[in-house]
Amino acid sequence: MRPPARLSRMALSALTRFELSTKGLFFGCRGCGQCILSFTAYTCPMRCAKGNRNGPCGGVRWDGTCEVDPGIPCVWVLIWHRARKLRREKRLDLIQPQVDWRLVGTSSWYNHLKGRDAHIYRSLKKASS
Amino acid sequence: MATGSNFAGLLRAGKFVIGAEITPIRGVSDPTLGPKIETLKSWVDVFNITDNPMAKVHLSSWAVSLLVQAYGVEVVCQMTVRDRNRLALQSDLLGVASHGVKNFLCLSGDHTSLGDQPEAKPVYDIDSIQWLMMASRMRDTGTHVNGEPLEGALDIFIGAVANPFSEPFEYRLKRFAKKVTAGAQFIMTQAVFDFDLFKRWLEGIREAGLADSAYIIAGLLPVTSPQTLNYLQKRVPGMIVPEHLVKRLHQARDPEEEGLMVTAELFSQIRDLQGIHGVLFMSTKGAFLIPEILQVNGFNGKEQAAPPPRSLLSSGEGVGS
Repeated sequence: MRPPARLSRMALSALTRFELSTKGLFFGCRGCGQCILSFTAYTCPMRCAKGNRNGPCGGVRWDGTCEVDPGIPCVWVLIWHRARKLRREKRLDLIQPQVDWRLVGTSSWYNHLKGRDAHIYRSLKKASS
Repeated sequence: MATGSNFAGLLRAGKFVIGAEITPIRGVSDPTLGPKIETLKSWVDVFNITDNPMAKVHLSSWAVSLLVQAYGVEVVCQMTVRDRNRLALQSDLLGVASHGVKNFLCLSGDHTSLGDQPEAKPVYDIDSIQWLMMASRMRDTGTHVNGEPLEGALDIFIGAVANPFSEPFEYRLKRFAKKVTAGAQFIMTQAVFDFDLFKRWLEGIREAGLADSAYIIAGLLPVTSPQTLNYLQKRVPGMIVPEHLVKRLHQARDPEEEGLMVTAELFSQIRDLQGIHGVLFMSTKGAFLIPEILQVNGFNGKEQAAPPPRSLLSSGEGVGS
């Protein structure tokens, strides 16, 4: 098993800022602290106005734009097209568990190291078995 | 499972189920509710009670579920994840179930920004699939989410919604499958206007081997004015209304009669599809049309022998073709 990582408060804060800013830039990360980018074709589903982690709601307009703002594309339309391009559609079949709101705004890398996002992998394992 | 639900019993017996949506009023007492239920009772098997539709404040769905149930009819209590976090969802589910409501529809709900108080905080603590999973797990394992035992058996029939008329179309099938995996036993669809698209979606469902995984109930929205149809076409996200229907209603001498014919034709087409187990009429305003639409299709109120499919209407040209 992984050795428990220990970081000073300052180092952790720097890591969190680095993670959120770089992932924000490249993947539109919203900092949920329990990253599932690898399941959603590297596009952050938390950009969805409803925070849907399991696919698009029924309000997507005919042109693929969001029900809340017709000026922006539905993030799940982006995820779907990207997943097809990257051949990662199978990963969208998995049911993503509820968000642990205690982790929002923290570093998902550190949380992963600490096993705090275990609920994601536990439920995915259960789903595939 | 869900032994106490009449609705489930009818579906299991292979009956073509008729549902009607009741939109709670935006106030306290509704004198029209009683007469409405009494009139529709002999035609409708189940009443869906909507939960703050269009993100506008209405009488709460659980309260109206209890009111409607008092008339001796079966209800489906709709519960969205927009207004309640997971604790409130679970306690409301248990609360309504404790009053004998057996059927629940788990959905995400229109976003608050589309409603009459757009400045409100949307909750969305969990999404609709996680909500389905939570409800079905509580029933199946008899425990709370944290594993503590649930006192008494939770006997409920759980449903979800599906929208065949919304992008990304190919992903919709996967999402259907996900909802079934999460515990959906019946699926209610968005209102059908574009029959061809609906048929194609259903074929997709069938090809994916999902047709028997849940009872599919098609939504149908009786529209009696070209203005309403226009509004649905232009303003309501996630709805597709073909141009020819709008034109047809515009050109009609009596739009109400024409609207009824359009809905009756769609009804007949939907009923002939294999793998569709019922129709849900999704308009409270248009509810007075339900008996007529059904009559045109050969139904004669309760205890009717199911009329043979392909009734008088479908001999003419269809809506979508």
